[in-house]
Amino acid sequence: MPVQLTATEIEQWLVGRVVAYGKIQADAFTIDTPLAELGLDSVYALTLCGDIEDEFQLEVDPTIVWDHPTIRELAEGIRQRAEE
Amino acid sequence: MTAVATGVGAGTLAPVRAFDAFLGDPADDDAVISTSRSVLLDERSAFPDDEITAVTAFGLQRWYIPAAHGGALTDALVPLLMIRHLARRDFTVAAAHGKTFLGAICAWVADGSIATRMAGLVETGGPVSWGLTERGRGSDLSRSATTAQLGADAVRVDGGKWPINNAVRCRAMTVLARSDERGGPRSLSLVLVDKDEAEPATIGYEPKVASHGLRGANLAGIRFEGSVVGPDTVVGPEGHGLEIVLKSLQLTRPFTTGLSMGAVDRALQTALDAAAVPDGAHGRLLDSPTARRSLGVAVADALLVECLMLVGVRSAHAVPAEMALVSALVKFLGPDTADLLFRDLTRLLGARALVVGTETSGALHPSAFGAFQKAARDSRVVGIFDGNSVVNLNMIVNELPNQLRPAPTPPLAEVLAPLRADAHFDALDTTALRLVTRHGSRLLRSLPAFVDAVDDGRTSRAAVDAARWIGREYTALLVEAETLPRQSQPDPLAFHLAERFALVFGGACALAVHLARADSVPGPLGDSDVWLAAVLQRVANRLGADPVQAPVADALLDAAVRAHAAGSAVTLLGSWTARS
Ligand SMILES: Cc1cc2nc3c(=O)[nH]c(=O)nc-3n(C[C@H](O)[C@H](O)[C@H](O)COP(=O)(O)OP(=O)(O)OC[C@H]3O[C@@H](n4cnc5c(N)ncnc54)[C@H](O)[C@@H]3O)c2cc1C
Repeated sequence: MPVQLTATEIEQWLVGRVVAYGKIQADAFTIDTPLAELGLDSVYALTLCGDIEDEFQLEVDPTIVWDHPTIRELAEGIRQRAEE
Repeated sequence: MTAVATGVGAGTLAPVRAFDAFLGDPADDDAVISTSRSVLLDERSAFPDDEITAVTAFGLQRWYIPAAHGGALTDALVPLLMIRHLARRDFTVAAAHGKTFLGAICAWVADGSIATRMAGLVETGGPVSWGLTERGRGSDLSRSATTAQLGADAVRVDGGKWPINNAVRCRAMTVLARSDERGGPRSLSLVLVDKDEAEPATIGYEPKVASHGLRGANLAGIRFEGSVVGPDTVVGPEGHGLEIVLKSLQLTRPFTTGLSMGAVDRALQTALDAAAVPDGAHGRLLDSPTARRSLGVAVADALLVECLMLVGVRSAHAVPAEMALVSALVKFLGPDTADLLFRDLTRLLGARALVVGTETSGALHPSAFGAFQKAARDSRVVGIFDGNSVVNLNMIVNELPNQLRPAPTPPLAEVLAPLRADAHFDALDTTALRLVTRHGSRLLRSLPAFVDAVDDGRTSRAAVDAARWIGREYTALLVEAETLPRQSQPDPLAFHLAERFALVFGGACALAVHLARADSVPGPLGDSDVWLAAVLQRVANRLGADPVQAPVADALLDAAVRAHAAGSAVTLLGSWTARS
């Protein structure tokens, strides 16, 4: 992934994914809304994981989405993983 | 971990043959499982107690326990074929005994001290159940409302599970329960509730479910009202319940094809018996061109399910990280094909397919037709439990982007090695299971290479042409899949695409089995590649191509009739029956 990518940029990307998958309005949630409350079931988390792998060239376990259940936490999780 | 040795094929399956010999000839009323008794018990919705006791005394449950935990499970093909032997005789017995394999599997995936404890339980022969589903919540496991309070000194379970196989008669149950009220996938844990440990008064039951299939099974509900067990009963880490269940399902899904195959074996046996005897004005079905075509196609369907079964169980050993996709493909297409076979044979047998009981029907053994309709009802359960067809299609849809990712395909020999007759495995590596694959299925990705490999000048034109047709379909599907948007609720078109992918995968499985076993498929099926041509034409037909050609269906039927007359099952796998 681009080295300088900030948590905020990752958050923005995740917001875009969530809107695209769930067909929900961007103003209907915040980065602290639990993903589970957005009508996105656990199967969708597996899909999101695939997108994370592609976007950031990372090999992540899908449970990264489960262990970081909000966009803010997930962005931080991705950033840390990318730095490793 | 896994090892591929040579020359051990027949030796690996020796316990399977011994089990078949132990069970005896089902036409014999004194056999461990006799068809006439099965049919009678089913009519009364009575549990097959004596049969289960005998199978437990044989020690089938030892093959449910991995060798690492003191059991006999090394190569999972062994218990799978043992379950198939049971299911060919009596599906209810197979489901009732085999349920312990499913109930215990989360403990093997979790590993550690809970696996040791589970091994001890299974070894006793006491049934272990799997409590996932709850009334009204069905497949949506993440909504489970049963709770588990995980304390330092004890675990307390409250709630209920329904409908559960062996709910009342089980010794213990692996229960999926909510351990964190905040919700989300990390809010569920698994608890092993041993009825010998919990206070009996805290466990209640709901009445036996009257069911269309599996009538005699102990299908019922269970209620936990403050059931307390020790702190060492949590299966895996707290909050990992759903993850462990999803990984376990990747192993149990291919395992259930043994049930489907057993039912299919029974159906073919009845149809081939019936077709060989004159029936009133019709004469013999074997002499009617239309009937011959239907029978030949049914044999092709049966062999497709067998290919899926073999690929499923071997993939679990060889490519566990691909099981998220492979298990869904196998579990969708296997039961779907078995259902189709039963529907077609029902039409062929006519009134006889609906006969119940053990009364004499013409020249056949009295219970033959009663057993057919029992198998027809029972086998439909497979497409429902352990993730229904829609759930599996949904998983396939979610996996399509992974299948599309560019990735190198391993050399053909490496992809085929696990399917060879001399392949042998020592253990299932449950640590390598993943919730999603990186690159989909390598077997599916190898389809174009399989097609090229069978076009070798020795394989029949009929098989090669059908293979080419399926290969083109695969290429077209990949292009279509590229345009699919990723959505949390895929639209119906995506499901349709997933169904076609599953069929193409079925074609890939048949090609792979042929390429890996061309020299070891037993006669009469192995005398030519006609089985391959028939299976591929049938798959292509389901995808929109022409029906199976009459000469191909004819030739396959002849081979099946010869195998059947020799007392063997109609099978591509050599040495798993007592007669082989
Ligand atoms: C004989 C038998 C034995 C069983 N044994 C056990 C057992 O031992 N342990 C256990 O835990 N459970 C057991 N079950 C329960 C079984 O696992 C459930 O039946 C299964 O999970 C499906 O749930 P459901 O029947 O409520 O159907 P639902 O999940 O409610 O599905 C009904 C229909 O809804 C649609 N649907 C569901 N999900 C989706 C989706 N994601 N997208 C689109 N459409 C969807 C489909 O059309 C589906 O066919 C058993 C069931 C039977 C019949």
